[in-house]
Amino acid sequence: MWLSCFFDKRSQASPYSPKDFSPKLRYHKIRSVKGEKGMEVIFEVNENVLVARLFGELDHHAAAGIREDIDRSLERCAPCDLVFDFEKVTYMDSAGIGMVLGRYRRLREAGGSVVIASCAKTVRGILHMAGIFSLMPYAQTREEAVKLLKEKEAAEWKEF
Amino acid sequence: MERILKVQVEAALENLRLVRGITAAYASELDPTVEELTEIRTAVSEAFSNAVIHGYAGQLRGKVDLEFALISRTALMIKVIDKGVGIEDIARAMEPLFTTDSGEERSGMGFTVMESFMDKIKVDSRPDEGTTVTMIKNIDAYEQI
Repeated sequence: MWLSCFFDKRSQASPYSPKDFSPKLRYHKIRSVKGEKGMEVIFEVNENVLVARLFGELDHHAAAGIREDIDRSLERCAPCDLVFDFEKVTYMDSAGIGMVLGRYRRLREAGGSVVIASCAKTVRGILHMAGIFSLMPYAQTREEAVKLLKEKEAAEWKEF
Repeated sequence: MERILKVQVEAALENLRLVRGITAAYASELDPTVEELTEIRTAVSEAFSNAVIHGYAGQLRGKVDLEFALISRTALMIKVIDKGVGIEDIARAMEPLFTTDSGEERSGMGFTVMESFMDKIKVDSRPDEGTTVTMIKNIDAYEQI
């Protein structure tokens, strides 16, 4: 009981945007999913930004599992923005394009944004070929991507 | 044609990594750059994914034949052959963003990726008889130097 009071007070005292009222997002959480299909994702929640760090080879086999993991995490911390960190992705084909576009559509409906961060040259080439970067921005590192999203949100909040 | 290698792989997405491994092992004999090797691996992986997902529609477990051959000192030919449902309209299937599978978030970029990564691509297909994708890649690193 005292715990809920604690959360209530904390959420009311928040001087930030309305999204910050959700107490579960206050903390930097890390969840790691070891995919059965040979790909691992580490999720980091940074206030309203979900960072999905992918490890391994992203093909049609891996994409099916990864999609579900990301969607589940998105549902948990909605409403939020998403950062794909492809730094440790050693291989990507059209499955990756489908996965990125699918998450983009979902989030856009909910009013969220997607940023792609730190791709290897080949991965970037594939995404570029599909015109992904005309839909969503690219950042050199995931920290930059998170910063980008926060600035964007702050700007939107100011306008509002 | 020299150094012919024929491999038959069960049509399952679990085998994608294996197919890429076989392709890389074969192609590396030509001493390609890392980029060229990635391009070849990706193109073959796309063709194999197509055979599994669309050719056999993920159901009846068929077999996919991979044929590798050197057609010159610097050119590689790879065939990916399935005996699946075939393609009715090949030109349409090769259009960017065209996909028959709307539910599972396919991007419709498979053939586009193959076309841009390989130097030549030819698709032979007949409904109910299967599809053969033939790809040629020139590896001309030596000539550039």
